[in-house]
Amino acid sequence: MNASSSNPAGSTLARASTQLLSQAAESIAQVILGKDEQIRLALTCLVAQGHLLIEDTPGVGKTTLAHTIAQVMGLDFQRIQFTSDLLPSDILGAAIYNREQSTFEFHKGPVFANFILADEVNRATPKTQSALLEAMEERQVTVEGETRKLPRPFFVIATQNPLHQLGTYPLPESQLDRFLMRIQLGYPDKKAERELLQGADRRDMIKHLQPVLNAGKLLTVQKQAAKIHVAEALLDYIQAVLEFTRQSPMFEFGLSPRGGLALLNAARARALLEGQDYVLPEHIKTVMAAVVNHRLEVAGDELGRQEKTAASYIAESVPIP
Amino acid sequence: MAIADHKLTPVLIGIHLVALPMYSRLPPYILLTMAVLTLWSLLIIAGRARQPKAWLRIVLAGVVIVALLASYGTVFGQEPGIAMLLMLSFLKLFEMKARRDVLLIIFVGYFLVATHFFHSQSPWIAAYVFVVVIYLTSLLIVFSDRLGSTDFKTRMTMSARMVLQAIPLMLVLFVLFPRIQGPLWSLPDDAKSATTGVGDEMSPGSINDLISSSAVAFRVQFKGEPPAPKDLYWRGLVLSHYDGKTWRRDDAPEDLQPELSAVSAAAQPVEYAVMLEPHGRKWLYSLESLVSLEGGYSVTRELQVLTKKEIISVFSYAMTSSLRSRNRSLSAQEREKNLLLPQDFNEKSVTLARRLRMAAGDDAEYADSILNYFNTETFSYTLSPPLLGDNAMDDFIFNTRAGFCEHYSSAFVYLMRAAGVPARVVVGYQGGTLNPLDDYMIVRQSDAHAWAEIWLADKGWMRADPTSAVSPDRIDFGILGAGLEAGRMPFMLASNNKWLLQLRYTADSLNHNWNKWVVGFNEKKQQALFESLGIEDINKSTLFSWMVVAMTLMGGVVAWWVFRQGERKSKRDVASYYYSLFCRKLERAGLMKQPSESPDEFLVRIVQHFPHLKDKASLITRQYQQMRYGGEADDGHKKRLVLAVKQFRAR
Repeated sequence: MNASSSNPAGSTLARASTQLLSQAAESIAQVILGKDEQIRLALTCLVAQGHLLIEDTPGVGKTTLAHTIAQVMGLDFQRIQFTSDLLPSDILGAAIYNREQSTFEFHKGPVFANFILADEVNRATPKTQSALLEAMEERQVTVEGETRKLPRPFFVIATQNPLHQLGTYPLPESQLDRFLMRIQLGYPDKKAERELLQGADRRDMIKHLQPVLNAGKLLTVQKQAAKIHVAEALLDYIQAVLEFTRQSPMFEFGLSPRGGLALLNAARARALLEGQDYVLPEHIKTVMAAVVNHRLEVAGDELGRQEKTAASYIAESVPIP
Repeated sequence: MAIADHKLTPVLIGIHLVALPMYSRLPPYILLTMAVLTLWSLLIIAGRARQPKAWLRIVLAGVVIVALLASYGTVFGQEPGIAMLLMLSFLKLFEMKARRDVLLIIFVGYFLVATHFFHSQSPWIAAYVFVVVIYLTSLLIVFSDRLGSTDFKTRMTMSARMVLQAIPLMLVLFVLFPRIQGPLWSLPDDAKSATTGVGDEMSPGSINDLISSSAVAFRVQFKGEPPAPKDLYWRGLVLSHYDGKTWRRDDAPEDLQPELSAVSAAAQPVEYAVMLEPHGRKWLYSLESLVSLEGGYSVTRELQVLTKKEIISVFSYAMTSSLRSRNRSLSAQEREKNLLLPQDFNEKSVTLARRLRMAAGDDAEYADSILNYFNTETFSYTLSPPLLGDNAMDDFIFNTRAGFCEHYSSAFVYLMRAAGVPARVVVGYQGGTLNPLDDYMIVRQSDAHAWAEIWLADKGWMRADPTSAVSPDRIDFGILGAGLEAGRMPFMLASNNKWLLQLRYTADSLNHNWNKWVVGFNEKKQQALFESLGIEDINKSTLFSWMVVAMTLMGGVVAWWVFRQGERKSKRDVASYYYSLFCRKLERAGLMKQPSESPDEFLVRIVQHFPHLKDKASLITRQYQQMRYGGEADDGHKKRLVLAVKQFRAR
């Protein structure tokens, strides 16, 4: 495009970023079959420096997806299995007395990693959940009065089983807002299922995947995404979306300013992924469902009757300037 | 493009808004038809009924014609014409095929809403019409090409802005349009509205019916101090002929001129301008005694001011009166006329008159003795007098002794004539309230009054008000101070609520200024305006050419501004303009872009419908996206977009 002439350095970097991201997507798609869109959304979320919530029934590949992304991204990976007896210190780390040196020594918890998989996050108590969620938001951990920065990039994929189960603590709306996106994986289609049945063990495949990026490269990519141009018209559109959710009787409450920022950043990352050096209305629309649905509570069952989600209702109601 | 049924609700509301001020005067058949058609349209809008078939629509049109004929006896003329247009607007709702059908209803609505001015030119109607025009314009926006999806508030704001933008043009037309005496085109006879106010006959009860009306009869602006309340006798008509029950006009031939004489050297003439509310009659009101007036009205020997046509809209005129001069015109014929009484009735009254005349030294003394008689005997001033028998005067003077001004003036004149003193009844208004917030006087229907005039050989015609003998407060403090039954008084007038009074005076002041500056902006005021600007002797054709020049200039300014805006338009606006042009071309081919549809989503649909357009449509979409959403775009993009859109053919 013509814009390249005015900013060659930035554009070259951007193009390289796009290139890397498509390679990453391709690699991941070798392991996770028939889930191209979810892979792209997960990458978008990662590039937009947000965190991802995957909500689905067990066994559809939530954990595998997280593993694969971590492997391809070349990030150091920690998995935390949430259980009802998990304590905040199990995540954040704790100061432990060193008898030899007679001092307290801080032992970093698993949260000190680039890539965290918080498995079945709804099984832990709210106290433990909020320890993780605060770390996600602040990108730092404060234990015993001492603040420690978390490594960068820092990316959390939390999984949650939506089925009502005894002894779970579903994340409240206020906490859900901290996830940039929420996606569902769903069952694979017949062809993908067949391939899955015939193919090799996914875990072995992950081990053999070549990393496409590393932490440093990912940071560069993230910076490129933040530079993507957003036209005034589309800022108008995002504002119109926010306004619409706040006015519409279909929703219990509207999107927060954080929701607006999330939409903007996700759209930017999406544009980068698509190799576009400016945001198009499509980019906002494709990330809309993942960004918006978990932040809104639909009032009544009118939307359900029309078989619409919050996002599809917004997308077809708000005019594009 | 077919109009979806549910989109008709605002149109239906629009028609009703247009018709609202007419409801009260539309005949029942028409109202019934309207209600049925409304219900039917609502059913169609709700999806419970279908659009009627062509033959049924013809039957409906027939029903409308029959309803019109049953109500008016004709379909021609102003009222039936307006009612017919209204009915046909409702019927048009049943054949909405294309946008032009809606546009037709809206344009007919603009016309119909203007017809309200046939009936009233009050500021309230003008404000209402203004609001309805804004609403109708917002309907135009709804059914326009590109703005259909905007919400109600945005549409109304946009429409209000458009209407306000038209105001300079309106002012130019208002100030410069050549004024024509009388209405612009002659209206059919039925345009004359019903008569109100004091009539040209007086029988017991005819004035007392007016007392309960707080409606304004006229407003007066005095040059200098207004006269005292006791001098505020607004003469309307002189009634000389009495048939035993009713007083009627018996005017002197028009070619005889009145003779006036000033009795006092200190007679200061009173100059005043009257803004008469339409009363549907052919006379004006003046203070006694009229000295001069502007304009071509005829003044009779009785000093009545007559007009050639009925007053059907607010009418303003200027007059000068001298409170101390007397009308001295009385021919032998007139003397005879003003002495005439029906024979063989009211013998007791005639006897009383003769007895009192004998006791008095001259006619003036006799008049005083009659007034004194009313004052000292047990006469009372009341709004609900008992009914009178065949010998009405005897009945009143000796039995009931309770009456209103028409009883007293009538009895007084009767007693005068019975004793050989020429006398006559005068009807008009007495008093008036100064608007404390503004500099003018309000005279209401409740100020309606009747009094008498008697001929005294050495003085001429003298006013005598027997009501003042019975109830002096009526004259000194006005009708509200007369101690009449409060229940019969107009509520708003009788109320002591300060806030309400304030509101009332403010509203009246607004009305007055509206009449003065807007409705009353006639040829004379137009001339005066230009004279004050130093332009004398302006004629209609000059005005007309100025108007054309002014409008051309304004059009030029607007065109220049629009042109400059176009020049200044950033590339982004150019992109939007050409992209919407592209969308309209596709719309004509049957493919409409939804407002919430992004260019890419629309492109997908275009390719589905018209696969052969894929390349061109993609090119246009790409150029548009680059220019609209991209960080930068150059002339190359613009040229490619403009060219591609211009060459684009959807079919």
